[in-house]
Amino acid sequence: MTQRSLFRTFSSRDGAHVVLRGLRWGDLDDMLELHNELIEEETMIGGDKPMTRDQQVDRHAKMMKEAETGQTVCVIAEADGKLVGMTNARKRGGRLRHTAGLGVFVRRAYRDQGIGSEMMKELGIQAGKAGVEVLLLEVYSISPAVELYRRLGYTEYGRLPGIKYRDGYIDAVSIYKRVGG
Amino acid sequence: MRSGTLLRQFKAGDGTEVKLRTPRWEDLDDLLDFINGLVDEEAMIAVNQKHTRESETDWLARSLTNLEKDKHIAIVAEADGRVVGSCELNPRPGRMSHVASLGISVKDGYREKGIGQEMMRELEKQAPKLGLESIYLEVFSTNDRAIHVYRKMGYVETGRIPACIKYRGGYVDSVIMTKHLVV
Repeated sequence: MTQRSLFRTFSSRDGAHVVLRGLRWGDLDDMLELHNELIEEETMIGGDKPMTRDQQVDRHAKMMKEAETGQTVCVIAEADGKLVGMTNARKRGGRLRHTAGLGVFVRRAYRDQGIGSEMMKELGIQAGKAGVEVLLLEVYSISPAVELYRRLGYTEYGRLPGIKYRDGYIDAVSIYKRVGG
Repeated sequence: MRSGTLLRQFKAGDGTEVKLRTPRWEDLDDLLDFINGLVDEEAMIAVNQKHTRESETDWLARSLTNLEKDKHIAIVAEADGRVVGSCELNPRPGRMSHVASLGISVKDGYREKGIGQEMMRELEKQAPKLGLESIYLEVFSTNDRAIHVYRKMGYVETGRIPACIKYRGGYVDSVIMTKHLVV
C-alpha cells in the first residue's frame, strides 16, 4: 500500500469529481486543516485539542511510515484539488492482527454527498487485500454516522456509557464488519 | 522548508540537466538504491552497512520531519528522473546551534561534473534561514578529490582525528574542515 496508489474516481451527489487514492506526504497541511476543523466544530471524534503544525508533522511522518509498511491502510478523498476526506484502518497486533481500527473523517463542506460511504467501501476492499478480516470502529451514539455505518453493514457488538460530550454524557457504540475473504 | 520544494535548475559540466530540490516521500526507493550503491562501492563515507527498505523508511520519515520543522536542511540533486546526489546540514544542539555539520554524497556516474559543488552552494544559501553561521564537515584524509573540492569551496582544515576510521583493512584519519559563512 504505497502513497502512489490511485484507487478509483466517482462523482459525488452534487457532481464533484472525487479521486480516491493513497496517502501522500504532501497531504500534511490538508490533514492539519481537516483535523483542526473537526476539533473546532466539536465533531464527535476522540481528540478535543487543535494541533500545531509541528505536532502534525510528527503525526504525519508516523502515518506515512505505517502506510508505507502496510501497518495502516489509508484512503484519501480528493475533490477540487483538495483533500476533503480520509479514512484509515490501522492493524492491531498479536492475536488481533487480523483486525484493524477504523477512522473516517470528511470536511464539513463535503458531507452528505456519499463521499464517506464511497471511501469506506474502498477501504474495505483495500484492507481486505492487506489481510484485514475485521474492521472495528467506535461511534458516538448520537452521531448521524450511526445510520450510515448500519447501511454499510456494520453491526453493534458493545456499548460504553459515559463519554463526556458538551454538557452531558453519551454512549460510545462499538461496531464491526467482516471484510476480505 | 517544505518537502519537494524546487530550489534551482542547472546544467552540469557534461550538459546533464540537474534539479536541486528538497527531498520528498516518493524518493524513498531512489534513496535506498543510492545509499546501498555507496555501500557496495565502499565509498569513503561513514555508512558501511546496507539499509533495508524499512530502515530507509524510518530514516526518510525522520529527515522529512526535520525538514518540515526547519530543524535541518536537506537537498537532493535529481537528474535523468533519479536522485543522483544528496546533502544535509544538521545544526548542533544548544550553544552550538549556529554551527552545522555537512554530509554530502554524489552517485557513481554523476561525479566530477560540479553537482556536489552546486549542492554545497545551495546549502550555504539556505543556511542563514536556520541561523547558521558556520559549517564543518569530516572527510577521509585519503579522499583527495573531495578535499580538493572543499578547499575550493572555502573550507579549511581545522582539525584531524588520527586513525578515526577503519577502511579496507587499515586506518585513516578523519579531517575536520570548517567554513565561516559571511552573514
